[in-house]
Amino acid sequence: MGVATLVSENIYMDVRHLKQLFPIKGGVMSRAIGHVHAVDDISFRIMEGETVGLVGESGCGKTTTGRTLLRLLEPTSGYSFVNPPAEVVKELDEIFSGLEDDSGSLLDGEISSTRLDEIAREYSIYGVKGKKLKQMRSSMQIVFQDPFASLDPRMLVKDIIAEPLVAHHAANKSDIAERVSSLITEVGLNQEHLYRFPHEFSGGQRQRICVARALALNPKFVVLDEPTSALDVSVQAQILNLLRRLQEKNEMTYLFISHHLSVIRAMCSRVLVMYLGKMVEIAETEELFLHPLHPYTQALVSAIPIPDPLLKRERIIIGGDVPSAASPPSGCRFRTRCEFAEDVCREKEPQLEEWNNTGHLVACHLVHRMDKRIINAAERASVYAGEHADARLHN
Amino acid sequence: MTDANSTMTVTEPEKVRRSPYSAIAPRLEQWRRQFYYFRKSPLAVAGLIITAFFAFLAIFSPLLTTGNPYQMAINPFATNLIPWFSSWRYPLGTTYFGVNLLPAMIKAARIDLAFSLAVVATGAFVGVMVGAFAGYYGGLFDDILMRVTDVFFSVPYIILAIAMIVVFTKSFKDVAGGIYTLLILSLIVIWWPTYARIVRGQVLSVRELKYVEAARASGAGALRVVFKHIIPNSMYPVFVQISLDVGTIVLLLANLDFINIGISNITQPEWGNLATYFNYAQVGLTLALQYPWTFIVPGMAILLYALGLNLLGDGIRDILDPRMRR
Repeated sequence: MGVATLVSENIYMDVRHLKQLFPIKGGVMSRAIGHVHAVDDISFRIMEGETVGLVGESGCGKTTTGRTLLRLLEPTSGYSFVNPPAEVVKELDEIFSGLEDDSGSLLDGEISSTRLDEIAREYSIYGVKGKKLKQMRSSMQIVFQDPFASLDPRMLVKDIIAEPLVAHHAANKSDIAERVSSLITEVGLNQEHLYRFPHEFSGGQRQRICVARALALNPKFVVLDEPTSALDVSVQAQILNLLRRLQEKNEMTYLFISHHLSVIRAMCSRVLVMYLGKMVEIAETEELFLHPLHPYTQALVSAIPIPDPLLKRERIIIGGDVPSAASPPSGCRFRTRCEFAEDVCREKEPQLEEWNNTGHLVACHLVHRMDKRIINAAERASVYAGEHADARLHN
Repeated sequence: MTDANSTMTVTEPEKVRRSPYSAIAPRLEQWRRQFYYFRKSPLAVAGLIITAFFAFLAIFSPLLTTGNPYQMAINPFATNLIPWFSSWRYPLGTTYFGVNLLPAMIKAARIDLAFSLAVVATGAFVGVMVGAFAGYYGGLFDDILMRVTDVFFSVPYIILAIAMIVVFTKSFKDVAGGIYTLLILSLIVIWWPTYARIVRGQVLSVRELKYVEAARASGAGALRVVFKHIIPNSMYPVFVQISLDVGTIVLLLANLDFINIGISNITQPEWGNLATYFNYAQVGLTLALQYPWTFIVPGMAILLYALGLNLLGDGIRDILDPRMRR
C-alpha cells in the first residue's frame, strides 16, 4: 500500500480546542434550548504534504470538522493555525498547557490569553478578515461527497472550473481560459468536455470536474469530503489514483474524510478517528490498523473485509445506536456502547494521550491502565489477526 | 423486450451535431430539448400561439391599422352604434362615440402588452432582489424584509391599489405618462411581494445546495454567489408566475376601468377601457346590454390574452420543473 512520501516536519495546520455547537431553537422567541455537539473540543495537527484520514460513523462530525477547517462554518470556539512557524507552535503549547492547569497566577493567564489573541490574529484562519481571509481561502479547497449536487446545473464546465479564478480575480480572460484547459487535461478529461453541462457526465467524470475546480487556484490544502463514496468501485480507484498523482505533483496536503477504512488505508499516512464529536484515537495508518487501541476503533478495524475466503476472523460488534449529539453521555462518550466500560468511564472524561510513549494517541482510561481485556481485543481486531485455514492444514 | 421499451419511453430528440468548442451550442441544444417537451403538450402550444399572436399585433399595430379609430365619430350619442359583422368598414362594429372597434383593439394590444410587461417585469425584479437577499442572508435581515412583505399582504391588494390611485391621481397629472405611470407604479407596489415570497422560499432550498457551498469555498463573495448561482437556480417558479401574471394584470386593469378609476380617458385604446365606454357615454348597464359587442369584443381579447398566457405558463412549468414532467 503506497502512502504519500512527501511528508515534511513542518506543521501545516494546528487545530486547537475546536468546538462547533449548533443551537437547537425552540420555545418562546426561538431561544436556544440546547446544543448539538457536532464537534466538541478537538485538537490535532496536519503536517505539510501528508494525507490525514478522518474516519467515524455517520453523524460523528467528520464533515462538520472539514467545513469548519475551511471556515465554511464559523466555529463556536477554538483555533486553527495555518502554517505556524515552529517557535510559535512551541509558544502555543506553553500557553495552552498554562491555560489548562489553573496553578498559574491570574496575571499569567491574562498575559498568555492576550498573546494567544495576537497569534490568532496572525495565523488562525478564524482570526483573519478581508483580503487576508481571501488569500487564505485560495490556498484551501474542498471536494464534496456528492458530485451530482456540487456542480451548478446551469453552468458550462468551463465556467465551473474558472469560477475560483474569476472570484479571486486571479488572471485575465485568456490566462483563465488557458489555465482551465490545462486543468481539464490534468484531471483526465478532454477539451471538448469544457463546453458541456454537468448533467452530460457520469459520476466519476463529475468528480474529476470537482477536483479540477478545487485545483484551479493551486491550493496547498484540500479537504476531500468522502470524494469516492458516491462512486462505484472501479471509478473510485481511478479517482483515488488521480488524487494521489496530483498530490505528488502539486505537493498538496489532504484531509481525507471517509468512512471507508480500506480507502483510508490506501490513501493516508495518518488517521484520526472520531466518535460523537470527539477525537478518540490518532495514529499512523499501519499502526492503527495493526494495533487499534480504542474499543471503538477496534470495532471499526475488525469490520474491514479482508479479501481471503479462507481467513477466519473474529468480528467485534458494538451494540446499540450512537447517542444523541444533543445530550452526549458524561465522561467517555463511547461508554454507553463499550463492553469494557467501568465507573471511571462515566465519571471522568478521558483525554487524548500518548500510549506507551509511541506517538499513538488514544482517549481511553482503560487502555492507558493497560487493561488486559482491551489489549487482547486489540490483537483480535488487528487486520493481521485471524486464523488462516491453510496454516491449520499445514500444521 | 426492446419493442416494449421503445413504446414505453419517450424518445429523446436526437443530438444535433455541434462544434465541440462552442459555448453557445450547448445552450441552444438545451433549449431545443426543453422545447421538445413543450411541444408534447397541445395546450402549451396553443398558449404559445395565442401569445405570439398578441405579440405580433402589438409589434405591428402601426402597420396593421391606418388612421385614427377615433376620427370616425359619427354620432356622439349612444344610440347609433354599428353592430359587429355588419360592414366591412367596421368588421367588429363600433362602440360609443363611433370608435371603430377592430383597429382600436389592435392599437390597444400594444398598450396592454407594454403595460402588463412593465408592471410584471419591474415587480418581479424588485421581488426577486428582496426575496433572494432575504433568503440568502437570513437572520434579522430576512425577518425585517419578510415582515415588510407581510404588511403588503395584509391589505387586500386591489383595495391598496385603488387607494393609491385615488389619492395620487391629481399629483400625477403633470408627470410624464400621467395616469399610466400612476397605474403602473401602484400595481408594482401591490405585485412585488408575491415574487419576494416565491423567490425566498426557493432560495432557502437552493442556498443549502453543495454547489453554492463550493462557490463560497472557492472564494466567491455574497454578490457573486447570489447572482451567479442562487438567482438563476431559483427562477423557474418566477418565470411561471410572470407568464400567469402578465395575463392577470390586464384583467385587473379592466376591473379598475369598470369602476372608473382606471385610464379614464376616452382617447386611449386599451381593452378594459374600450369595454367600459358606456361609462363615458353615461349609459346605464341595462341599456348597454343591448349593444353586447361593445364589451364582448374587448372582453374576448382580454380573455384570450389571459388564457393564452396561462396555458403558456403551465407549459413553461412543465419544461422547467422536471418533477411535473410526465
